[in-house]
Amino acid sequence: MKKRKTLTVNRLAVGNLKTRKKQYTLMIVGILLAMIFSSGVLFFLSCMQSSKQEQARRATGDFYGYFYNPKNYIDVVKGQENGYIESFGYGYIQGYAYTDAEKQDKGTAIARLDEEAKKLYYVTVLEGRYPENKGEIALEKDAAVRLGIEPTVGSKITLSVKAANGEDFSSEATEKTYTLVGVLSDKRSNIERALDSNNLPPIPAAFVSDSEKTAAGGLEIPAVYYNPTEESMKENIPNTAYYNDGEVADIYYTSAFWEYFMQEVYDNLDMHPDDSMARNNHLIQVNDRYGYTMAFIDNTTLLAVVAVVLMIASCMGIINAFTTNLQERRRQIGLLRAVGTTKRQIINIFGREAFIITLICAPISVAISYFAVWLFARIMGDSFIFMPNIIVLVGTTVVSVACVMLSALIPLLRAARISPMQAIRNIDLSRKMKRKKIKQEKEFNAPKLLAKRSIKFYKAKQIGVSIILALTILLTCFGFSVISAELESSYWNYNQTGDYIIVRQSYPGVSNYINMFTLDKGLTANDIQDIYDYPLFESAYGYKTAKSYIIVDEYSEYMDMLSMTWQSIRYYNNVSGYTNADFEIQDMTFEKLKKLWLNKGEELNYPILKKQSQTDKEMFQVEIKGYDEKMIKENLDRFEVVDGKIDIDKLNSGEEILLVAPPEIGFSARFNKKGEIEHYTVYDMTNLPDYYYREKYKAFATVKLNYKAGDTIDLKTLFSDETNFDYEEYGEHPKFVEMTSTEKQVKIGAIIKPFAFGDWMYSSTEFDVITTAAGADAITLTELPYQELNINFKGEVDEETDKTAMAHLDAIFSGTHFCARSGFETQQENMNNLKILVICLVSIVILFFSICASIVNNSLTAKIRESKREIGTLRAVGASAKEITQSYIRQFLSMFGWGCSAGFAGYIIGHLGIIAYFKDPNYLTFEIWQAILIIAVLFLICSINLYAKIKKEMKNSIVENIREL
Amino acid sequence: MNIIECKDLTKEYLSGENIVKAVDNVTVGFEQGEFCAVTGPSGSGKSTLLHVLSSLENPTSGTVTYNGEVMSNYNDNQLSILRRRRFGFVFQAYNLVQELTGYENIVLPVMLDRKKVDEKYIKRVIDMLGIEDRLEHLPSALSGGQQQRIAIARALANKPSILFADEPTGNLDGKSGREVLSLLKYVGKEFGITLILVTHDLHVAEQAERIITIEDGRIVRDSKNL
Repeated sequence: MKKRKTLTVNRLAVGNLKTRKKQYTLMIVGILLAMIFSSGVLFFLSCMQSSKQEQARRATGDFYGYFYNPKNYIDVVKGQENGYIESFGYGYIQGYAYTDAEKQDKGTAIARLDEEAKKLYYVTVLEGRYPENKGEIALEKDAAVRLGIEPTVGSKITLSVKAANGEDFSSEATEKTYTLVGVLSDKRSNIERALDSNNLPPIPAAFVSDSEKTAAGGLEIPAVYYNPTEESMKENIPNTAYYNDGEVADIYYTSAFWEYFMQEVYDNLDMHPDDSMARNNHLIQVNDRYGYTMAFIDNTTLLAVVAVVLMIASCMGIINAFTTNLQERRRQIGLLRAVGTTKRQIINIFGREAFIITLICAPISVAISYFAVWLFARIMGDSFIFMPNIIVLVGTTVVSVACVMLSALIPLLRAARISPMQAIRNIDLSRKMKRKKIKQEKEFNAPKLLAKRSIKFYKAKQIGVSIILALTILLTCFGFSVISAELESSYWNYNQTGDYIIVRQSYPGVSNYINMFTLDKGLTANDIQDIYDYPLFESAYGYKTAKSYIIVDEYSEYMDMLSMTWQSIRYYNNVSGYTNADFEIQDMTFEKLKKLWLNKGEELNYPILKKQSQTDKEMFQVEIKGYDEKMIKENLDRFEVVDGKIDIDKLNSGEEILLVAPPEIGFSARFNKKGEIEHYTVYDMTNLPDYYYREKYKAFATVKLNYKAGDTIDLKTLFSDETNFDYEEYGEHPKFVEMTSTEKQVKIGAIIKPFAFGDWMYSSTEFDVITTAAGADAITLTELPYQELNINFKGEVDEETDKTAMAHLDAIFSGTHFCARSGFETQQENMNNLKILVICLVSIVILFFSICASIVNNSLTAKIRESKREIGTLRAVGASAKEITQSYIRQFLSMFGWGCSAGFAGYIIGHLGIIAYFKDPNYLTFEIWQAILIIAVLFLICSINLYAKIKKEMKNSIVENIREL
Repeated sequence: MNIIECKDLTKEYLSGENIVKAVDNVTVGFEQGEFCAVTGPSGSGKSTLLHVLSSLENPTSGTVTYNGEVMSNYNDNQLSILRRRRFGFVFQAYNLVQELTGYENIVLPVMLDRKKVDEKYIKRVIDMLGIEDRLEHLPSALSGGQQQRIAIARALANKPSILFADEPTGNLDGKSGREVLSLLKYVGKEFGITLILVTHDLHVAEQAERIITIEDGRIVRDSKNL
């Protein structure tokens, strides 16, 4: 006899799946979509994170810091044993290479890296490979440009190399020929730019193989690439306490890691703890990975919120799919309950079904979303990197499965509560109907009455759908508002004046008060000549600046107010030895602040400056801005002249200047909730900046300008050629031994209001002197260097010409404090970024919209399926398709009307709330057509779906409708 | 002259991969005012014959003629109008609209037809069926017998020519069943309505003037019940 198979829960679940294929197909599709959304969101987040991390790694390596020549000073092995260092690798610097003896500063250190250092430096080969044999070399792209080498893999390159001698590089260079086997992505230039310091140790950008020997008599200099342990970075140790009247006012903390290392450096190098120069020379912090993680969290908060909303929407979709399915099977569940199945068994049977479906859907959905995000990253180009590891893959799968199972639990628990009576009669409905009081109609419009009653009896369901609709409208409207605001943002429409622009990328550590053009060369006439070597550049123009002083017998109130704010803010932020407590600004008035400033003034830089410049008079700092005549002429009509007139010739000769100054300034403060002053500032009273300032700041002192056109002022400019100066005596302010000054009497040709137009001319409320470039030279009696240059291209720039033009400019400015920016590239990049952002936001909005639309549609479909019998009855008693459709459309309109009104009202209230909160009517754009479009699309989708479903039911014969399934 | 008749009527169903002939080449006619019972064992095709005759289902082949007009020429809308004006239906499971009260269910066909309710007539029907005190209740608050009476009243609301009843007593106890049956018989006579009643219960069938017996989709006997 054939043995019968035992009936298990699994068999029952599989049996259900087999026999109700059609019903399950719909549910599986719903679950599959929801799982694709949820796993897609996770993959997308992982992609964003890996992209950010990978970009950071590619830019500056996977190491936190770099320690040059640590051999006698720091024991990194001990550091690792003590739990301060997580990992480290050694680089061995063999020498310093250059090609042109006159441009030695554009050379690079050559090193070999051990395996761990290679990993930490995150060597990224762009072309060719990393050196493996003797005589081979790989260069970072930027290093090749600086050296003036065409980076062709396989070519022979000859370098002048000063060999390392264990401590430094020898003074004599020998010629060495290498085979260039690889071009690497830039790191050194990024690190230098990030650190923005003049005193960096040599960081190699040329690498040779391990088998390479250093030059005869040479001795490699070790350098450590390291990562501290996370714990040692997080552990804060009180480092310095600042006192105020004998009480601790503030405590500054450092991490345990830095404390340990500083101590090592101080002990072994016998350095003063404040000697930042020495510190810079040996130990540098390249990447702040902990800080970076925090920044990443900040940046992705919005994305994470969106992701969570999408996940919730997905879960709602799953709940909906299960509810619909179980709703249709209430009779079956009732029957199972009637024959003795317990609640737990019901959950088991249907939960098992859900689990089987989830197991089938999980790999498919994970594969689809993986592929979609991978494709997205590929389309988006280099800036997006999708490299999920096994943890992300498993995590995503587990989270999606958990999402489905948890979401399924809600309808399952509800299903388990179904009473056995349900098998015989729809008692739920009977009970519900018995509770409702209704008013009988004598005569009625059948579709209208049916719709009315249906809304009355199924209120909870209708409210649910209305809420989903409201949420859909609310969130998609806000989504589109954000997109629209982004599209309108001027950031994306950035348009620089010239086709190319040479701007500062870093400032050498020089004085804020004295011009030091030896250290800070600026852009010289030679540079401009080099630019013109490229035949397609038409013109180059820019501006010069010099730090200068107006010499007066006594500060005017106007000067007091400006300098006070300016100085005290500097003071507040930068000058050590003073605490926030000194600047308690409770009940602060202009007079009190003035007193405070005058008392502290003695210890500030200003008296030192006065002493050094050997003057008894007062000095008021201004910046002289000398724009090329062409720029002044082109923008002449944009200057808002308050007094006098602009005479270019007199500006050129240095006879006259333009004084940028508001006719009236106000000292204003922002108050916190307790009524204390939170922040103070000075702004132009004749041209209040914007809504924010008007609302938040209260002005309590105003002063009028004490200059008029035609007045004469004395301008003193200080210079120093020193390169080695001593910081110790005055703290931040360097002590100069050699200092020269020029003095010139000039007439104020015109007083102009502060302005902000274009990207090149900007002046705020500060006192500025504007003149032509020639005028600036004439006033300072010096040929000042340019600070920024705009270059115009002959004709239109395209991708090809942009490449060659940028290569030309890179070769000139690589390794300097300046860099070239291509307007073409910026525009392309901006457009690309905008494209990415808009695609991301639109996809998220569409995704959310689709999920919600599908939930609403599912509910409508379920409603029609549930009403199958009623439809049959109505048809049997003579209702036409039109009348039945009308009845459902009325129900739908009611839900839709409420949902839309609530959503739209929410949007308006939210919008007004945000504007009120940020006190800025332009904070968020409100576009009515978007909301209408969203409502129209949603209405169209739902109506079509509703109509299609009714039509489908109508295709069945009436008997099929009536029969209980 | 027959008010309704069918010729060579066949209705086939797909059951799995097999085609099942529920009604097999049946030709039959019904006269105005006639009370005819269609009987036969379960699955013989009696209900299907009623469904096809009453346009609830389309025939696979053959024609159904009402008042000399072939019903397959009607479109869906015309069929709806025909059902609401000329036909009345009584089902075994009552099939009342759950959201409407007893009265609203009764006048539903009239309202669908956008006509004024003939209150006198409706009152007469209600009185005849003895349901005047159940009119304001929703179907869920009514017993099976009461629901079926409401269903009969609904079927009569538009003064139909033909009343189709599919096992109208099947869900009722003996007493209620007998009452419903005598009511059907009475209203049929009273209003001159053709009553086509499907039942497997011979006692019920015996109440009819004419008994048609169906087996395997074919009419095996068609006799006057004298």
